[in-house]
Amino acid sequence: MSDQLVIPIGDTTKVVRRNNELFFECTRCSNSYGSTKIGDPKKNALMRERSIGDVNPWNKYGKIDQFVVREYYCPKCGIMIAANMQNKDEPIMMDMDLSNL
Amino acid sequence: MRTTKKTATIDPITFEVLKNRLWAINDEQANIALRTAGTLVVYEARDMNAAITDRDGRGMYLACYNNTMAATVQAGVKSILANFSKNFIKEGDMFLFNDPWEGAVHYNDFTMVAPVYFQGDLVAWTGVSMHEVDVGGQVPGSMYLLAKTAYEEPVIITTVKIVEGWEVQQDILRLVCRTSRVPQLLQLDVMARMSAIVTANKAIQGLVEKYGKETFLAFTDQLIEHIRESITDRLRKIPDGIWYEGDYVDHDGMSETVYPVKLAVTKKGDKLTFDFTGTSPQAPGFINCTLHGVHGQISVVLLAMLGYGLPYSVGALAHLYDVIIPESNLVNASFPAPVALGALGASWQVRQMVNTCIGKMMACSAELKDYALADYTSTWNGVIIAGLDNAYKEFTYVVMEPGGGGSGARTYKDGIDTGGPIDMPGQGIPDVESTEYNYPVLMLWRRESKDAFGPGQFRGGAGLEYALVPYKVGFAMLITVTAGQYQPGAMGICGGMPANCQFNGVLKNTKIWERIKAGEIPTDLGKLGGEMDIRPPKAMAPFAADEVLFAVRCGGGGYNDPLLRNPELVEKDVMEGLCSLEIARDIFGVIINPTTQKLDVTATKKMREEIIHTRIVEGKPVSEILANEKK
Repeated sequence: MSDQLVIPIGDTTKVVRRNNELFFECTRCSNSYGSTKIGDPKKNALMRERSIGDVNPWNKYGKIDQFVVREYYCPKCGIMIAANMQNKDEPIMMDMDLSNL
Repeated sequence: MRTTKKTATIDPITFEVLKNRLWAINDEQANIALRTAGTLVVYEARDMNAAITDRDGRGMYLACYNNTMAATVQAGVKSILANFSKNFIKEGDMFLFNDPWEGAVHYNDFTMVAPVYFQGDLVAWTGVSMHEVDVGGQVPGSMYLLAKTAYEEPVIITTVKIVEGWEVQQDILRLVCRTSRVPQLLQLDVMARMSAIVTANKAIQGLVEKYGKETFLAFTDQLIEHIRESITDRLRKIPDGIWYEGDYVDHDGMSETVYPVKLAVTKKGDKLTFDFTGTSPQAPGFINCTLHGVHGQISVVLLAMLGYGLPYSVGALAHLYDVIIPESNLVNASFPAPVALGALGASWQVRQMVNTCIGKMMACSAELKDYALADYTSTWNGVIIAGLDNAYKEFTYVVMEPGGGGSGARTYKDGIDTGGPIDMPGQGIPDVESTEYNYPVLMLWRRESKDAFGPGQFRGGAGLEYALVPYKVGFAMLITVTAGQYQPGAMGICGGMPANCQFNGVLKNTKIWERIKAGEIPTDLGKLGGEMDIRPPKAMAPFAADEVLFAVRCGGGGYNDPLLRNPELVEKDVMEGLCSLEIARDIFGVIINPTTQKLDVTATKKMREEIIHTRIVEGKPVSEILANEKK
């Protein structure tokens, strides 16, 4: 039985139904991020942290030692599924909780 | 409050005729105010708006200018209905207020509202709000950086009756205008509001006369219900869930402290809950906002993103969302907390986060994904230049160029370059000639800035940059009131990246006047030279006649991974001066030949493969990071 699209999450991630269970899946390489019960696919993604100064030349006038951009990638194909700007001392921020779909 | 029984449903044709006629009256109301106003801030930059509510104060229409401002008209009317007796409110009355605890977003936003009567019965309210250049207080522009309480801020005009029985109350008008450094301009703006309200009220009375009072009242109920149902239908196309965002307000006027703002939006069935738990407690400085600012910002984003194609009815949202905010909070300030910068401080940050959360939420709906928007430009990069010109005449110049921030990316197209904030679809930037005619400054250049956008498959709209120099000035002060300077201010969604930090810099030792006298006008930062002193987000300092102000505005946030952007679009951006070769290479993975400015397809493919490889090699599993955080 093939996977059935339930909802998109933008254009790089989607929720699919497989054997009556819901999973987060990469739209490009079909990598499974696991059950939607985890809430946010980024919990099973890769993350790289970069200073805000590394992603935009105007940011050199900002607090480049304090703020970072956290980029989240599909572990299989490397596509970026989220990019959050945060104070580097704060824990990782989730984008969503879809555990009750 | 309701004076008649619930009214009957009217036929669809009459409904459509009334809907569009009242919409047109609202448009005319706003345009009368614009065309008769006294300040560049209003008549060219259009930092104003007009609203029509039903007889109970439920917002039915906002014109297309500053929607946050007009969204608070509803709060003002409800306050009047709650605080004054029925006998106090009569035909021909107009009320004025700038009280942030009664509906205004901050003191500069003077709002005037008036009841509309027909044959002795209240049938509607109209209102006009405008940003005033100066409403008194300790500094020109009225945003005092060092205020620790509201008592040190401009005079609070709690609701007063400024027109009674169509007669202007001269004593009240004199008192209101006396608070300002530019009383003539304030008076012109007050009179412009009256003109707009008189025009709208007469037009509404004509409509009621033509269709009958019962039909009109039935229509107002039906319109609000129609819009509520339409938005509810759209909400039903979105799965239940929670979406999160976090942001910051940098600098409180007295210290470099950065204040976190947190938001979780829960969508369950037909209802949204906006939970600000985790947001900083009230700040000691003027960056706080009141609850009216929060409701205004939530309303404008919901109407823009879920209310498209419909009249912007704040009243229709009443039962669609709840708000959770602790008392005495950065976004729910308790009197007498300082709130003069509320509109550009905490309140604006609320809008940023609501925009991002609703954007992420709508991206999870197959039917609504194409209406999702990434975050629009960050808070107003505020600058006020004030002092004496060389004829010793006092001036207060509120720079309106920050209206040129970039719009957020769409899921199928780039954001609009210098498209402005999400709540100001009809906003403008004053003509340079108008600015130079009215104020003692010379604009060296103004253009869409390079790299001032959030990258993505679809990038955010580019923000604006400008450079100006004082001209024929005796003495001037430069006051900066901005945020989104220590950290990027507009977030991307679904793999799109945040836009740039915005800032104001003062260039010294450029020998600008010697060069201008010699016939040279520098037109970019490289040619200008000199040393740049980056001003703090909130600061006040002398602005010397030979110094140059250079400012860059934040662009819009991006959508989706920048590596998925069509390389030809990156090539176009480079050729148009919107994207540097470095950002093209490092963020988009696109190689452009520096000599020919042409796309190198083979090198681009290789570069993108290298970036993907680096991501996988250097990326750490989030599951491991979260496990370590728990420890």
